[in-house]
Amino acid sequence: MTAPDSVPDAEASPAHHVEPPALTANAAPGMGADETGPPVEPLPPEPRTIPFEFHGRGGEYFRIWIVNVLLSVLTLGIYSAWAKVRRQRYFLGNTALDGSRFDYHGQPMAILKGRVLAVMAYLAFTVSGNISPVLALVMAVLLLIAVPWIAIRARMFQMFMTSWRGLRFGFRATYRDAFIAELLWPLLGAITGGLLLPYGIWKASRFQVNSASYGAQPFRYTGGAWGFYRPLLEAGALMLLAIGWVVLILTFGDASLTDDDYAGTHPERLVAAVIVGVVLVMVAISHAQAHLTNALLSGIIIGPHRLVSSLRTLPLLTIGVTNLLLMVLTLGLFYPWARVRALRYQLDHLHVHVQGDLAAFTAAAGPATGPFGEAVGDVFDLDLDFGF
Amino acid sequence: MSLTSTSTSDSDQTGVVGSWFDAQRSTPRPAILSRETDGSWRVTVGDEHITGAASDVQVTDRLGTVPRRLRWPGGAEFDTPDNDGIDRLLGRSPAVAAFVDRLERGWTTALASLLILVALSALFIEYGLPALSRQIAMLVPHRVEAGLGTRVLEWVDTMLLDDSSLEQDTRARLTTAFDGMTSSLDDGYAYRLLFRGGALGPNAMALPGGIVIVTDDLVKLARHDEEILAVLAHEIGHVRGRHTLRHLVQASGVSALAVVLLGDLSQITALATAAPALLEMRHARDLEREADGFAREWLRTHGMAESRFDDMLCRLAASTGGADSAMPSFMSSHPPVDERAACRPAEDQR
Repeated sequence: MTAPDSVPDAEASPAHHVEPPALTANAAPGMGADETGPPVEPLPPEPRTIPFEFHGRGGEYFRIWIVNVLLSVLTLGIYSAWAKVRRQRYFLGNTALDGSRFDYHGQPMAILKGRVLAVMAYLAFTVSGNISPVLALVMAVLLLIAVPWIAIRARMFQMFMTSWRGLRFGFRATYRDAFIAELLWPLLGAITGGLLLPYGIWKASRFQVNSASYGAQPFRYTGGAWGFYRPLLEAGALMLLAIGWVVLILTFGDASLTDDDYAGTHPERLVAAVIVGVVLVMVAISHAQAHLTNALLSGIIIGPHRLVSSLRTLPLLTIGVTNLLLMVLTLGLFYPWARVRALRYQLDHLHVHVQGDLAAFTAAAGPATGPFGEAVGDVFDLDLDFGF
Repeated sequence: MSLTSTSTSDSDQTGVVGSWFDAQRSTPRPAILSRETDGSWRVTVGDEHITGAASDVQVTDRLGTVPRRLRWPGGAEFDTPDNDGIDRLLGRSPAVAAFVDRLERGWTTALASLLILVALSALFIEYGLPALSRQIAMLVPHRVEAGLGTRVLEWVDTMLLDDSSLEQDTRARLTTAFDGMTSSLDDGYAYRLLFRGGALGPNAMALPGGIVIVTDDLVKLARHDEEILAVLAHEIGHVRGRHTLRHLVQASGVSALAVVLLGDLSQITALATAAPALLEMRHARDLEREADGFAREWLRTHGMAESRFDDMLCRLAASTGGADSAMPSFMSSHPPVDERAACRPAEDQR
């Protein structure tokens, strides 16, 4: 097609460079700048903070959800691919930045094909385990080799099918980098007893962000490893406190009683100790969740713009606990409201520090991706959440 | 698609207001969408017009209040929150999309969907799952079952049971009787009777593949060998009916149903799936009744009194006492004893 107002240099500009002329046109006049000489470099425009907005509503999503579940059940799962497209379109289409909504382009047939392939691979994997242990081992090694590839493909599909203002997001990574980020670092984190775990999460986050792009503009990750160490250390300390508390109460609560007598004669003290322990553990989990998300998202730089995520522990804990209670009380029917609430809190606390404006991104020739990774990511839970 | 710069418009005045994105830059431009008389789409951006044949331009399906999009080939798009306006220009939406949207828009259809789902789930749990799990369990080869049984035995030996301290004579006598019971069955299982001690109390269990375990306490609790044989027959009933496998399939089936209905496996849903697992206890009790039936049948056909089974079951219930009765019936894996057996005073038992 022919663009109505084609930009002559849009195709020619280097992929990593987004400083188009439009930026300077909007620049605020600099105070005390030397106006006499020829303009050497325009002053940076006034930075602004633009919030993400979420327009989804629990009641509306409940109706969409329940109808899609019913249609999926009645079609023995086939409609679930269409339901996924509607779910993605609902959440992305209700997320706005600078007045424009996000969009989802995934096609149901592509998702369905991917799901069928994934189910077949899963069945082959399961059946081979019953036929011979050697075959099962071979399959396990093959799966391990495939993991980085699956992760890349899942991510490519997820990002490429997302758009904002007519430009697609993208994801491009080498097998080697994915192997290091998705397999090697988790392994190192595990064998060092968790010491390198935050470092591994940081490495993986850097890999994820640095492989992503919007239009022709690659994302860049600037956060340090300490952003991941700190919340995990704090959460770990809270966990130790929780364990220490329960042990303390049980050991010294009443020294004259044995464990059995204790639970029998003073059940309320035992219950109180356990409740305090559980609350501490939940605070620890929410703390890690909030600040790991902040560390990941706030480190993202897109051209001259920076994401800022400001989640806090207690609001996240409150939402998590009330969601869980209401889910249990309603036998799961609260689920759509729970999702909308959680996403609204997250997006209400996500902003972009904008330098210039958000209208100057240009398109990139997007890679065409197959759906296989996408669906395998679903079944094996490799569909990593990026926060949109 | 053609691009013209004329500002005259021959389409109707009922344009839809929205934004145009050209797929080259992330610049929104105010635009008005209308439809030509030949059905092609026409977007007016400033003083420019972009047209597209109806067959080339994809209109997204209506979904809640999510903005509608018209996608041109090549990625350019028109975006508007005016869903009704697009429907008006479209005239007739594709039948399936319009149907799904109508279902999703009203509370009546949503509640009807909910009721149908509840009914379908109940039917599936009540009838579909037991039949399905029986079919699946029957497909599993004996060899695989035996392998599973061996692994379970290793686990219970480490975690729950000690070596038996029964007299060698008693063990030999019961083993001979057990072999007599099983040799005539000819059902492909390699039955094996094992004696175990430990803190489990009077109990017996059947493992997949034919291993039957009795505890020393159970043997001591019996007042007649035929009472023990009645219990062994009950356990053989479990083995023949592949109850362990059926229970496994059914339990995971209920959880799988919850996952399917709730859509994903997040932390929250994982906890919510624990609730339906309680439903599965009902089926576990059905399996016990089936094994009871096999035990009574075996006693009858081998010339023994069915009351041997009743007496043993009642004494077992009495010996474990309070713990069992405190458990509400919906949470127990066994039916209450007064439903399973006719209890009578000890002096009547011989």
